[in-house]
Amino acid sequence: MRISVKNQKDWFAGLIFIAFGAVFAGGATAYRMGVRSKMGPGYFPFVLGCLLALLGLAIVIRSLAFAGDGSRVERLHFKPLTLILASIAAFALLLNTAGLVLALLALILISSLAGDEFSFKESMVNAAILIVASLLLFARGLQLQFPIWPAFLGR
Amino acid sequence: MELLHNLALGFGTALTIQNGIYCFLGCLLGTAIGVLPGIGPVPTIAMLLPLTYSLSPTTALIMLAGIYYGAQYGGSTTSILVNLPGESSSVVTCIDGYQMARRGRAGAALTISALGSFFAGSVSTMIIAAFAPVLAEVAFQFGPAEYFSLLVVGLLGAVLLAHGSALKAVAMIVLGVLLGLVGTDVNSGVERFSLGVPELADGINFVVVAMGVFAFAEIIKNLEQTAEQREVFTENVKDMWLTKEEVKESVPAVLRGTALGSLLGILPGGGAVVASFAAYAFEKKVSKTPERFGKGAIAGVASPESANNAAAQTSFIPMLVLGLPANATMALMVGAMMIHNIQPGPQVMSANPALFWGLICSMWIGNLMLLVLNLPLIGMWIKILKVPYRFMFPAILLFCAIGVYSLQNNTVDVLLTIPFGFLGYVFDKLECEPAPLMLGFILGPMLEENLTRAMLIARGSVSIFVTRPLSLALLVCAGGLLALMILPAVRKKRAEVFVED
Repeated sequence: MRISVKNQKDWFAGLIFIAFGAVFAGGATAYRMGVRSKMGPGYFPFVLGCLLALLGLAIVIRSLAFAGDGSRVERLHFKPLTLILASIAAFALLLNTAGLVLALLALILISSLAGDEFSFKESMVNAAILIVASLLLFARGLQLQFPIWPAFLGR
Repeated sequence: MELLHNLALGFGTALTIQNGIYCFLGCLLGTAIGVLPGIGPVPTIAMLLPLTYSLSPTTALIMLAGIYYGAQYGGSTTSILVNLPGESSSVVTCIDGYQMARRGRAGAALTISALGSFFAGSVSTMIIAAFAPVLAEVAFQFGPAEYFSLLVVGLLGAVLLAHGSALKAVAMIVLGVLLGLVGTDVNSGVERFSLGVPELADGINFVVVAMGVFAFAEIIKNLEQTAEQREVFTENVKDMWLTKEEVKESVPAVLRGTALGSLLGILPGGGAVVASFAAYAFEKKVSKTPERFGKGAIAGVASPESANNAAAQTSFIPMLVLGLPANATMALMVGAMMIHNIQPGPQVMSANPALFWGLICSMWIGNLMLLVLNLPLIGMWIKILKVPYRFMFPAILLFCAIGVYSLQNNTVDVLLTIPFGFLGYVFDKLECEPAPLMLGFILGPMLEENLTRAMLIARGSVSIFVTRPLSLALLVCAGGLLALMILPAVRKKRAEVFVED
């Protein structure tokens, strides 16, 4: 009998769970275990890490046995995935140095690229409206503390 | 008499100008995100949590609760007019609601869903007021062993009602619990899994996880599809009145939906989504004319719409009384209480009576506001529906980013949402649901603490969980849930194997 993956979704999910379980259980060994009546900081995460790895293993084994319905993994769409996450990264990295206005501009422009009907002019208008609204709502209205303008402008 | 006294206190609290305004804001926002497909109450509440820091805990909870049940009202509008679920709890409303709209009865469908929701909301508010104190009496007898068993029941309940594989849902819970352990251990003071990042010493904020796995993953998923052309049915919205036959048909449906929804909301893992599906199926079963379902039967709108609102509200009972969230939204509410230094549990009712009763009474007031917001102002929501998604998602991202940043005025939290967004998207592709992960994440530290304490008391003897009657009863429930999950799955799998032979 040839072993083949019948359910791709379960196969990958199981592997991810095994990996997480192993990392947590392995990491937990660095802390004091203690005994059951006096559990150390390592006890609970170690047990749960092992449990997670076992669950993952069970899911992997199942993926070899049963197909189930809709078992093929759909394609990952890397364009929206990377652009959306990149826009958040840009916001986080720019905020302290370049200030809220530029950080939001980056967030909105980069994320807008992720849609399939991008238009630069439209996104700029959207950005302008959203930035003004955020300044009024968050900085003025709710008094949240942000650097607004780039540091070199001497705020 | 005591109930009257409590309700008086509650209305006194809920009707202060500040609480009234925030209740209205919550309902307004809830309706808006309910109407808009692609954003639900979970990311919205996560987004706004940091902004409620400056409010009193009562005001904050009143507003956040308004978002949740407000979304149940708004969701039906989109289902009926666009045939797209505005909210996952309105998925079934699309079936008959949209057919009614096509037959020119959109106004009637909107009216019955708002009136049904209002009725259900009023009844379930009374159920909370009557039922919660009784349950709290029982909960006061809980020790660590009982709490541990209760948490196990709650987590397993979440698995039972998750879609798809139970095994994967259990794994998601365990992963959530583990992620919840990151940070300083309360018992020993040891920093666990913080990878030397000082910002992780206090643990990962649950808002960070919720944003990543719910909001970002959702946006990425929505962007995969080419932008849909929304056709909004607006011509026939003017005639809002129900005919006599429609009234006759929908009254019993509303009653059944309310009863079923109230019950399903209380159960662990329950909530608005499950309730609406169950109510629709039930209504079709008891109907004398099941063939009309799917062709615009008003009972198919009235019942699930009443049920989802009833369940949205009764799901507050386990959260408020036991500190046990039944679904992801309630998990966020628990988090919101903890942010404001209120430990959820039976003591909330006695220690913070104004918060407890104020929140309950605000729900009834909120439902009244929603009736006004949804029926006479329907035109406004139709306009909102016409805003294309390409303008919406950058605004949602902006709210998320600013919300996470303002948790602690720190950009590390914002960066941390990125791996969770990635993980959420990948898990979605693998059909692993994020809600059990979120529940595990929030309940994880409580689970560890109660286990540690129970074991300390029992000197390491596991038998404490079965010798204490309340704990045993809860574990029997947990076993029952587990059996329910495994049995049909086993049978189905067996059938598949036999077919392959």
